[in-house]
Amino acid sequence: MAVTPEKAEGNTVRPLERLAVALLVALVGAVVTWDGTRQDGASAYFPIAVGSAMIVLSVISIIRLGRDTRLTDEAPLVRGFAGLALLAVFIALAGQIGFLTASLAFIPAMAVLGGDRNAVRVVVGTLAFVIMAYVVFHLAFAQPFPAELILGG
Amino acid sequence: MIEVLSGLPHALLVDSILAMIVGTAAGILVGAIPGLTATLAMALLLPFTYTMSPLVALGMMAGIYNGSMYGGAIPAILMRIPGTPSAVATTFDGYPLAQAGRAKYALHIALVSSTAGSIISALALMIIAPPLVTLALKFGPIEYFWVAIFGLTSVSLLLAGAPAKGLASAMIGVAVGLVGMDMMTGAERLVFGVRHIAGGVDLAVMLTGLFAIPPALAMLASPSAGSSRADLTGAGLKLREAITFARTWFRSGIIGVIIGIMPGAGGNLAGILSYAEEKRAARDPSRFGKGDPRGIAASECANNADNASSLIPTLALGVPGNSVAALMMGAMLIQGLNPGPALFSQHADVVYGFMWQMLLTAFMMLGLGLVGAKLFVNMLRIPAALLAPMILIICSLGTYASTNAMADVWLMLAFGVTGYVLSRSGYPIAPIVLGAILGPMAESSFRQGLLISRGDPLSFVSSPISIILVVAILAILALPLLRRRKPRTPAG
Amino acid sequence: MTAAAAIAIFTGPALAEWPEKSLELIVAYGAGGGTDVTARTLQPLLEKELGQSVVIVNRPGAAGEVGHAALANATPDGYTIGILNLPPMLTIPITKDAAFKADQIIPVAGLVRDPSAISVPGNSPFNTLDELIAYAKENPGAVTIGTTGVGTDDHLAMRYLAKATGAEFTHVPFASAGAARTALMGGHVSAAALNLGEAMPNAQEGKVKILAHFGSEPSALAPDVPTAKSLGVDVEMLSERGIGVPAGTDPAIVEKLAAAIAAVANDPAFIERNKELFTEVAYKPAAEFQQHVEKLRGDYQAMWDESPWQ
Repeated sequence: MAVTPEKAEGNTVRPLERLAVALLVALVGAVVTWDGTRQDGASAYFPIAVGSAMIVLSVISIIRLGRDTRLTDEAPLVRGFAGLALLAVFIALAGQIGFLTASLAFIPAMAVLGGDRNAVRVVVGTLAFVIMAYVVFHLAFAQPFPAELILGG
Repeated sequence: MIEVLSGLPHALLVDSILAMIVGTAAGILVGAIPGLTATLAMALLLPFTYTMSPLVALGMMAGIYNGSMYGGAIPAILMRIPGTPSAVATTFDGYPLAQAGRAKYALHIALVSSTAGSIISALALMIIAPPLVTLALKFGPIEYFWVAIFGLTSVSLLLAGAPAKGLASAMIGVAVGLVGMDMMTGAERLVFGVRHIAGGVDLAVMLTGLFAIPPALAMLASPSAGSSRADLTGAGLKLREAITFARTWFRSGIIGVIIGIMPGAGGNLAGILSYAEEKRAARDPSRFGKGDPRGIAASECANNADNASSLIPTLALGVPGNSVAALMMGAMLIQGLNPGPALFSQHADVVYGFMWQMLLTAFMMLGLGLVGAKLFVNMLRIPAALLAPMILIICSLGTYASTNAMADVWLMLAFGVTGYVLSRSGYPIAPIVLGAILGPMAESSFRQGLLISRGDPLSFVSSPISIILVVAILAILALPLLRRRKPRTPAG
Repeated sequence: MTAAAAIAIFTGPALAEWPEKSLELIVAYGAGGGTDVTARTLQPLLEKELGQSVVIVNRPGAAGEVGHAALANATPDGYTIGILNLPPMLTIPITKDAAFKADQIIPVAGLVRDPSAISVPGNSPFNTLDELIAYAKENPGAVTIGTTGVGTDDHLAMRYLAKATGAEFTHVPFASAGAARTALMGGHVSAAALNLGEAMPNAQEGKVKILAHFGSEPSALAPDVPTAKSLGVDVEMLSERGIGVPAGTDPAIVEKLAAAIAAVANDPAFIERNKELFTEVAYKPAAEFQQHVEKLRGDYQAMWDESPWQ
């Protein structure tokens, strides 16, 4: 969203991370280019152009990498990936035991990760959310979701 | 004009009105909570709109869009934390006023000015979009190719601190848009045997993953929200006083509308530019920054005035200029509505009804803002660590509900990881989405142009519209070079 | 395993009480599209006939492949039914190594149809199909025809037309009917192949002229538009939607379902609503629809073997 003056919250990004991301973008660019060369005729133009551009732009970013540590609004690396890992576990569980059942474990786990140690608030919040979500999605929308363990399928 | 009026009854249907009220209230709420933005709220809502009727889906989105811009002013004034990036300039004078015990007065100015901005913008949309549509028929594939390129370059260059990263983001988006069946030949590209994406990546899945997951993660690290002591102090704004802001609204409204139409520029730029202009035009600029109500009025009016106007190119040409417009367009595509001239002739009820919704939600925002001020202030107390997992669950539920495939929920997670990692390294997110929308448009129109002109490259610069667009693109590309000559500002 | 064989060897208990619970109706395209609208028009009336709720499940993806595969691979217990789209249900397995085969789905009933049609801009010099074809023959490749994409009924109609008349067109695929129609109205392509229902609203405004449609008989929606056949061009191409169930479904259930759909298809409310949507109800009972599907499959396969279209 932002043309904002960089709003720094204090989370840092080290040059090594920026280098790794630039290399990843270049790698994806290489894959796109390679897939493009497998295409016939006009189907190949855009993939090759786009893939090559990604490689060139990454090279520019690497040249201008800088050795300074920069600030970002996004979550710190460890906590961010821990959150993503929890989300992955949640999605895997949701397919097996249902979204709402999995939420019962997911919300407290994330709350702990986020530093909320108020047990009563976490339990009440979790239950309130799950009940509300049940009413909205299962009863009001009547959408077919994976069967819920707690509701006996 | 009669056509525009024909949309009003559709916007006034009961379900549309309910949708607008719910959307506006939700918009103010998410705007008021630092870290939650209109984009996030709309990205959450998007997958659920599959089962809604068009004007219910769009009415909610209109409400969220308008409401969130005002909502952002609440913490900006009370806590000096802009609730959305667009409210940055509101903190300059809003917080000092609140400190002086006039919080209620400041909030009322923000509310009335936001309403004024939304009204100006909705009127601009109603007046400018229909004639632009007539012009849009003159746009053939070649002109559309240049429009898409113009949108891509301006968005990626305006949004990023580093042009190379902005362009790289746009290219990543275009690459995502390449995935699936080549529309022109049926050949599969970048599918690598994954049947689920053989038809391309679902836009809603991508938008939800990119716009909702990274902010949710960021909330895990900001336990500060929720521990606020925000109070409504002092007397409110009197109607007679409100009228004295008319000149400010007029100036800021026009700035906001123009910024809105330009692809890539957003509410934050509108707010800051109007604030600067208001200060320049004032006879006594020294009071700005110390609690001058005109500062709040300028910022809040302008950041709402770019809302509806940013939808002008979206509705008329199918070219979204910012991420919110891209989400709006996503909601329309889900409904089988393709923005462009066909939309105006085939679905006039929806398109004009939606314009009225953009106008009506402005008044709802005024009503809800006056009545529910206390409630919205209390929203600042919700603990972020609980809100974050709930956002992630709603994303997952919504994505599953939209396509009934677990594979899409995993895809959403993949986009979340991508958005998070890229954003940390300074790659802006919005160009990815615009790349995914405009990339396929650029490619197919380029190849259609080649087919129609039988491979004549000169045909790409033969029409006046094409030439104007090419010149505009070159100007945008030259911008970073010019900027570098000037001494760098500390903020950049 | 062919559909007929699947029915013959099925030896499950007779499900006289079907349906006992709600049914899922799979739609292979997103909400708001033509197929989805057909499903949502059908849904309340079918619920009334069956006395059970019918839940619409959109399974979009891979241009219809995902949804048709979901139907083909569903448990054949009668509680998963789906909308069939012709020609995609037949052309997808022909053109690629798809996740389903056409004979994994039993066609139960034909429901609506929308013939492909060829249109020119309102101010075009061409007023008849003959004029367009004559010009295309004199100037090979000069006539550009916009279609709704590669492998769609409109693309196939254009190819059949070229083959039947010996004319040479330049094919310009667009991403959607809306985009093709806009390019047509702006005069950026000389003609467009669009479904009749997609071209009708603009034809009524006078912005496009429909030269001919490729239906087998004159359409009730546009009685003035001649069929290509009546103009001496032997081309037939329609987009059709019907109902199907996974192969292996109990024949008794198929029969009951077919009866319920027959009742809906003859309901004046259903016919009237479709007319508003510019789609024509053309009910085909199971046996006739199955024959029709089988014949089309042979035709498309032959055309593909002769000259692949993608």
